[in-house]
Amino acid sequence: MSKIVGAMLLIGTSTFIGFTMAERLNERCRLLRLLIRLLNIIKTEIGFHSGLLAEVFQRAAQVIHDPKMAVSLERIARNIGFGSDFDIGQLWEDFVNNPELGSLSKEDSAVLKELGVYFGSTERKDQIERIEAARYRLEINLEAADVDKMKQVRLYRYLGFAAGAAMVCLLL
Amino acid sequence: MNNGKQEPWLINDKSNSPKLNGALHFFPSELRQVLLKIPQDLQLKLIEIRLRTNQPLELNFGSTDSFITIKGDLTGKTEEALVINADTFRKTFNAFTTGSFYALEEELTQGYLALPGGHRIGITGQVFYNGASIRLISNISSINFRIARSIRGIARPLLPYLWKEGRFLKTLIIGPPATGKTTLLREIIREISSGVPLLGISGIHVGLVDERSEIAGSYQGIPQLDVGLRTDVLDGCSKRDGVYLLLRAMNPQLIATDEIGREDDFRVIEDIINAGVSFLATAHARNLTEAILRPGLKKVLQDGAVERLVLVSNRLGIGTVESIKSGVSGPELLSNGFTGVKGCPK
Repeated sequence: MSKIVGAMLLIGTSTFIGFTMAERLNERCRLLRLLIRLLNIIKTEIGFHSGLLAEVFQRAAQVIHDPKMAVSLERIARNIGFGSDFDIGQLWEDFVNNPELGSLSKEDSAVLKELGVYFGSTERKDQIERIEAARYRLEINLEAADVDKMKQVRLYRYLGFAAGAAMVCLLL
Repeated sequence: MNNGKQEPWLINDKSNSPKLNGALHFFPSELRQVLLKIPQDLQLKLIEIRLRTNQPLELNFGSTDSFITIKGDLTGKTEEALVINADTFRKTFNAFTTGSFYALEEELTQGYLALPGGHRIGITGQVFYNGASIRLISNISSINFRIARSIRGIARPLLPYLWKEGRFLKTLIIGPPATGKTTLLREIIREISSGVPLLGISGIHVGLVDERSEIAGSYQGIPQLDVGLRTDVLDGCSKRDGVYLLLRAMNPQLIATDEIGREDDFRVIEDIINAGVSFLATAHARNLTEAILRPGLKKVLQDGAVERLVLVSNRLGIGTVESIKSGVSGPELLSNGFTGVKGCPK
């Protein structure tokens, strides 16, 4: 009886790990789409509405339609203000390092962090160009992530189950 | 630091204190903490705070200036002075602009930026041209933070000389830079616009062309300083365009503007007069003789357009009225010099 329970636990755990890894691939694609959307919103706000940076992030929080990301964006907006000691590069880096964006790859995070250093501090044309460049790089990453997802989601799920089953066989 | 000169307009007006604290609110905490250590009586006299990359922080008190130590003591010695390094300068500019250079670049090409509360910063840096016009001022290296203050009541003793038979006389205020011309102008506008029943002055419609956002201290188009109940402000607008807009749209009884003196300003004044409207303006000049030598002012002054000439200095403190003349060649109505706030009603 205990062997059956142990075997089921082992298979269950390895299957769960497989599903988690597959989900991570799904989540990365979802986040990349969301961040591309966010960069589009920021680009539009900076390019056409010309609000101050705090207003840009406040507006982005309102229209992003992702409650968790909205909270993070509102946090950035709250920290920016006249006489504030904020460093937009640091605020943005904290946003990127947030565990909620933990499914992003190192390359994805690097693209975003690089952009954060320049947020607000250059002329409008340059801001738009930099956001465009970051968005383009994220789109390339998204294409690759989508291909990865197609290939590997099922693989991870089966592999999780199969690895568990194989270990059970070996142990028995 | 203190030259012993009495500056009663500040001593009388304790309401300046919160205004100054409001100004320091724009500074990043490391500088704010130092500036807040300046004694209260000197804080009240502070007019400008100047920052230059890798140079000492400079404070301007009108007739004197000083550096400041890290402990908040005033000093004339550069070796004791708090030096603004590149990082502090960047943080300070960031704090003044909320890190939104892109949103303010057009305003910054004018060389200044209006802040909430009527304060403003002047900047210098690297200038980029697009054809003949400035496209961008970037790599900012100097900032002059100018503290906005309304010194209520400073114009009251002048008003009986500027108001006659139910109308405001065409007036030009002349004085050297940093003598309080704009402060005086703002106060005259406020009093005339709101009305002073005590002196039989009913409020009139004032059109204000505030070319450099200095008079009304507008932020996002809304005046931050009190310019009266019946004042319509055109912010950031050239005198020429502003006067036509006001004459066409707002039917003003008085048009006020700052710093006339360019060649074509004469035409602007002429148009105001031809429309049957009075004017109030300021001009840079040490005295009347110097004013007449300036081509732009010469025509205004010699044409008999000016009914009252107010000459100001900072002899007894900022806003000292040296004399009031009835036109260029008319008699001197007041000549012994006084500071407007001394004993004036609030």
